[in-house]
Amino acid sequence: MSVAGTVFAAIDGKQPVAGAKVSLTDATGRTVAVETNCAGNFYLEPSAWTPTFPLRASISLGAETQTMTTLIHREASCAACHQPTLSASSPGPVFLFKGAVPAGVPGGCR
Amino acid sequence: MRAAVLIAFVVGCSGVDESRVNLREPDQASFPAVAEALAPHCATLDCHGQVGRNFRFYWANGLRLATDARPGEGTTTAEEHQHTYRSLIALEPFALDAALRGVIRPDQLTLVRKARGAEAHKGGAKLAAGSDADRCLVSWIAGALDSAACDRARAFK
Repeated sequence: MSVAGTVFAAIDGKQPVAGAKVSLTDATGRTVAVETNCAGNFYLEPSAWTPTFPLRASISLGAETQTMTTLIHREASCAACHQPTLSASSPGPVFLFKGAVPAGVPGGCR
Repeated sequence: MRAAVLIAFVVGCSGVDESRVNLREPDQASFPAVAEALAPHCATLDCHGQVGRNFRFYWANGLRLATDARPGEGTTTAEEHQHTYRSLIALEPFALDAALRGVIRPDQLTLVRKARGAEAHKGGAKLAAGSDADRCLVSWIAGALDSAACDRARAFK
């Protein structure tokens, strides 16, 4: 995979978000967008996109958008840095809502 | 002939004197400006913002020093800058000393060569020669910090 990750509703990482739009722009200025599946997962295969690092990333669902503060310089797996829990070396999972999660956010594969 | 070339090569590199003591170190007081200029290029969590790196780079938006600090919170602390500084000067202490004495050029240091991509670097070329961040770093090593370049580089997003 070229890039892959999981989007959660909140920083607790409990609820995946389905249908979130993940936008990635590489160093050449080329932007791709992909939606998360019911498990909150997204991925791009090399045949679809082989980016030139560094990348800029943002996620959105409806009017809610979060833009990554830093560039992604070479790590293709979001979870390498976005680990399940906050720590001095991880900002925690990739999540969409900084405040309360509104009702009806899609997610979960049942 | 081959021996002469070898001797010339050795003499050419002899500016780096590994018998020296009391090695010179670059200005620590001005290092925070350099660190903030370099950080967006070098200190993300997928690069030198990792404890496993020999050049370990602390940053407000990356690896934090205090166990209760979090990436993205607050600003880089003085203690974090100090630890990054110690990590940097430990990379090649004798070569850095030689650069500070003007025996070799700053761009001969592995730190600068890797940043420019002039030497194998897993992160590739991050600082183009002559870019603001590059000028900030090289001028600091040379002892004449280009603060304007550092400020411009710091604004990089």
